[in-house]
This record gives sequence, structure tokens and C-alpha cells, in this order.
Amino acid sequence: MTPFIFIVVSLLGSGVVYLFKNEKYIRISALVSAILFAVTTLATILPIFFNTPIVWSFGWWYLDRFAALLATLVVAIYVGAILASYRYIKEEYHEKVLSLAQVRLYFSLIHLFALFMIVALLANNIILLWIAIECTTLSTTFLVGLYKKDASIEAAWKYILLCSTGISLGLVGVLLMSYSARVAGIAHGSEIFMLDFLRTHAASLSPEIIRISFVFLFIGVGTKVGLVPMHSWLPDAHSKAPSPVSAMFSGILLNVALFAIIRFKFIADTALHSTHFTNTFFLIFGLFSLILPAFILLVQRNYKRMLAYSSIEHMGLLVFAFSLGPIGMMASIIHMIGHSLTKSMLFLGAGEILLRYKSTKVDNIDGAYKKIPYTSGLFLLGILSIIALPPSLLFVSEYSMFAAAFTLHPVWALLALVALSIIAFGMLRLTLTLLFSRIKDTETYTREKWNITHTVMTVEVVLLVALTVVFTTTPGIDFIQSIVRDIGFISLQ
Amino acid sequence: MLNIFSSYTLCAGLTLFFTVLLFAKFRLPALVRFYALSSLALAGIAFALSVEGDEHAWIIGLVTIIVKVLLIPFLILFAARKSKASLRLQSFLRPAPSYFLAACILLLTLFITFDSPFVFGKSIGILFFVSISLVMLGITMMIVRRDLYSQIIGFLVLENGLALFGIVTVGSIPILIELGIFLVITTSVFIMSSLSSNVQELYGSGDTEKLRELTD
Repeated sequence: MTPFIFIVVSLLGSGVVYLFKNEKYIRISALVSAILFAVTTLATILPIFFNTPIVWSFGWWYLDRFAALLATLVVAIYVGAILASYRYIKEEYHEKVLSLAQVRLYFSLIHLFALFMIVALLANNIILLWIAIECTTLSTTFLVGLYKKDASIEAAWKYILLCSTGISLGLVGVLLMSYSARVAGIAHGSEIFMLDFLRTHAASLSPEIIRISFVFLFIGVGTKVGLVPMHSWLPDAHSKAPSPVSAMFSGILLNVALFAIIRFKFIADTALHSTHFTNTFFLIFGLFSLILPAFILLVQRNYKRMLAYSSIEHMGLLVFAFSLGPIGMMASIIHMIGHSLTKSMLFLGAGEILLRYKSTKVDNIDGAYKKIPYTSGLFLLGILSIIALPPSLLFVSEYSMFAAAFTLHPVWALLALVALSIIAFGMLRLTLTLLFSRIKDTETYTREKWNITHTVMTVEVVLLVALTVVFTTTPGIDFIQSIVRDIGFISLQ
Repeated sequence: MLNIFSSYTLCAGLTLFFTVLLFAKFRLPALVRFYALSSLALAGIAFALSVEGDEHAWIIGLVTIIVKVLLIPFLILFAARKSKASLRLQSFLRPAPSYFLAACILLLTLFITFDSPFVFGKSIGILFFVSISLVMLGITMMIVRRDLYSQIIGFLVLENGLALFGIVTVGSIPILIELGIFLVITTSVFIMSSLSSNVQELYGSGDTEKLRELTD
């Protein structure tokens, strides 16, 4: 199966929502096209895990295990988000929050969003990678501003301006990397843009140009990852978007942007013949991205913004772990998987709370443990997982990453641990206030029923715990090692 | 010496000249007009390079004219007129300090490009200087000017600088990818203009000082 198939499926699915006049058919068609997209994408990428030769992985596309893992994650979170959207959009439409045109726009753009993320993961041409990442920004701007209220439009404006500017600076880095290949005289024509070519010939690229190129790439694409201090768009965009879209943002889009930086990190490390330069960037920005959310989360009163800052913190952790050598990289991969599942589940839960209470401020939520018990229980489980309590997968990854960190940078590791503790305290305090406050009014309320969002959330939690068991056994660890080998690393110096 | 006056360095100089002029303009039609002229000069560079030997560059020049000189100015003015935005824009700086700032940026760029580790021939070196200064002018414009349309134009100036930077560093990019980049820029402008008209309808003005609702 070539990528051509799922591209066509996604484009068709995106267009077909405009054929229907009935909102229910729109949702059903969106669900069907999402499942078709998931099946065709998985059929295209899963064979690499079984060591079958991938015949289409040349020219425009480059598939290795790391890209395949992330693409599987994208598809999983995407299907979960569409299942939750099925119910979420239905409720919002019936309450007249959304018009039919907005429902169509939502489902049409969300398919394009998933498509561009998969294209970014599989792209071989680095400018195509850049275009795909920029297109994820473009396709989601109207999703962030879907509700057309003051705050949503402001969030959408900040989002597109900051992310587009950042990605444009990333383009400087991409062009410089290709330029270094051209100057080294080793390439012909458009080979300078090809990732597999750059990976194999990285050792002969000029170090000065690669250094400048990596700085631009890190700062530029790091804006999209949400690293401090380029993060200011993230709390606004992730809190104002509809919750299934926020789940996709925090769960997978940030990972895809980080994937791009990691691809270039390997090339830069090989060209510079040491990991010191790139690791310094990863360490510093990772630490900043851990420390700032610690302060903000202590005073936060909005539960969706709390989750957004938690995403910044976890991206900081991922980036920090990546600077720690092979063990850190393995921990980082496990953390990526765990964070995607947990954060997506938390945002879906936040969506349920929002549907019920119509407010994102914690002070307006009363008696959640009585009125929405299933959501409250699952949300609490999610929060406990995200602060890395065992048996969450994040406990496994954070344990490994700090094991590596204390041997390499003991002071920074201690600082990171303190920041994490402050974050855990802040989030727990906010969650307990959110879920267990006393009921304000005495009128009777209807208890919620179990719905499809709860099923999706439960599946994600079960998967999380199951993966904890898997990744602490030898086959699981071997699997992660094979992925780290595909990313490629050179020995620490 | 004749190299300095070869056609593409002349066009590069015109690109920079028009961009510096638009740095301190306060009416949207004037801003857009100078951006269109600057992009026309950019297309001139592409045509000049195609004469010099690069076969595909004339397609790029043609697409630049269609997209950046005709389509994008039309999109911006259409969105502004539709939402009844005031065509007289706000800014932090008046004309004289704006030009002074632009001159400072050009000087700074000169110092940066003098010391760069890149080795270029004389005329390509001029193109490199123009591209970096366009990028810096674009970013400064986005920071200094307060209203939405100026920020869009600043972003477009940044993209112009990047296009020139691409020509300088990698020469030609595969046509399909180049068209993809143009599509991305057009879509960005379309989305930004649409959002600007939404802001205009919601707040009644294009001043980003009003967009301060989201804080922690």
C-alpha cells in the first residue's frame, strides 16, 4: 500500500461532509472516513514492524520505525478524538452553540489536520516536511477560532501568527541544511533536500553552517512544540479549541513537531561529530519548559489552561530527556506514548466537564463528583497518571529519564524534580477543587450516563497500564531500542 | 564593477527599496501597493536568473507575479473593505522614527552578513544581504506595528525575504515544492485576512491592543 491511498481517502473524507445537509449524516460520514483513513494508514505503515521490505520508502517518502510509531499514535488519538467528536459536536449542535456550517467546517478541517500530520511524519523531502507542518497550523486555525467568540478569535490570531513566524524561521534552518549539502559538493540536484541522503552523508556537511542551521531549526520548530519562551500561543490555542481538537493538539501535534527537530538533531550530531552542541539546546530549553509551568500552575484557575501548561511541561521533559543519551532517548519515546494517551484522555474529560457546566473556570464547577461521576473518576485517574504515579507509563519513563539525568547532570536533574513536584502539587490541588467542590444550588440534577467519550477514555487508560507492563519486559524494551536505533545516535562525548 | 549593475542585483535593490518605503506607510492601500511592487522586483530577480541559465526560474517569476503581485494584495484589500476596516492604520511609531529604525536594521544586517561563514560571490552576496534584511524588516514590522494588517504585511515581507534566501542558498527548488510553498503562503494570507475581518467585526477596530483578554 502506498501513501497515495490514505491521502486520497482523507481528501475525499474531508470533502464529503459538504455533500450532506443533515447534521447526523455529516457526523456518520466523518466517523466512517476517519476509520477508513486509520485502516489504510495502518496498513501502509505497520508492515515495517514485521521487517517486511517497504518498497515505496524512497523518493518522496521515508518510513522508519520511529515515524511508524508516531504515525500509529497519530491514528490512535485521531480515531479517539473523532469518536468523542461524534458525541461532542452532536451536543453542541443541539444546544445551538454551533451552526451547521461550523459542524461541516469542523469535520472537514479535522481530517485535513490528521492527513498533514501523517504526511509530515512520512516526508522524505525536508521542504515537504516543512510544508506539512505549516499546513497543520493553517488547517487548525479555524478550528481554534471555531466558536467565533472574542477569546477564540484572539487565540486563533496569536496561534497562526506565532506558529507561522516560527515555522518560517524553521525554513531558514531547512534551507541552510540543504545549502550545506550543496556547498559540500556531494549532491546532485534535488538530492540536497532528501532526508535519507542527508542522513547517510551527514558526516561531510560543514559544521559551521549546520550549527547555524540547527539553531534556526530548533527555535523555529520549537515554537510549534511549545517550548518556553516560544510557548505563549499554546495555553490560549489549546484551551479555546473544541476539546477533541485540543486532545489532538496536545496529544499528537506537539510530538510531530518534536519529531522534525529530532530528525535534524541526528543529522546535526553526525555533522558536528559530537552531541554536545545539540544536547545543550535540548537541556536548556527543556529545563525552562519545566520551570515556567511550575510557577503558572500554582495560580491557575482554568482547567483547560492547566492541561495546556501540563503539555508544555511534558514537552519540556521530552526535550530534557533527549539530551541524556541512549537511555534518555528510550525514556523519551516511552514518555511520548504515555503522554499522548494520557493528555488526550484528559482533554476529552475536560470536554465532558465543559459540555455539562459550560465554563472552563474551576470556580464555576460544583459537585462534579455527584453530577458527572464517570467523568470525574476518569479525569482523576488521568491526572494521577500524568503526574507519573505508578502504574502509569509516565512513571516508567520519568524513572528511567531521571536515572540517566542524575548520572549526567545531577544539579539540573534535581531542579527538574523540584519543578515536577511543584507541578504535581499544583495540578492535584486544582483537580481536587475542580472535582470535589460542594454542590451550590439545591435544585435536582440529572446524573450523567455512560457515553462513548467515557469508553474512549477508559480504553486509553487501560492501554496506558497495559503498555507499562509491556515496556518493562524484555520484548518491550527491545522494541524501544529498535526505535532508538532507527532515530540513530552517536556515542556521547 | 559591472556586476553591481547586473539586472538581478538591481532588482534586489528595488525589492529592498520598496520594502523600506512600506515600513513607514500608514494607509493600507499604500502598504499593499509597495508590497506588490517589492514582489514584482522579486519576480524580476527570478526572470533575470532564468536568463542567466536557470531554466525553471521564469516559472517561479510568473507564479510570483500572479500570487504575490495580484492575488494576495487583492485578498487583503477585499477582506479589509468587506469588514469595513479603517484604511488608516495604527502604529507605535511615526514615519521619521520608522525610517530611522529601518536604517538601523539595514546597518545591523550589514554587520551580520559581513561576518557570516558563507562564501558568496559579489553579486550573490548582495542578494544574501537583501534577503536577510527583508527577514529582519518583516520581523520588526510585526513587533513594532500594532494593527493586524501591518502584521500580515510584515509576515509577507518575511516570506519574501525567505524566498530570496532560498534562491541564494539552494538555487532552484523542485517546481512542485515551490508551488506548494506559494499555496501555503496564499492560504496563510487568506486565513489571516479572514481572522482580521472577524476581529474587525467583533471589536470594531484592527488594533491588537484590544486583543488582551487571554491572560493567566
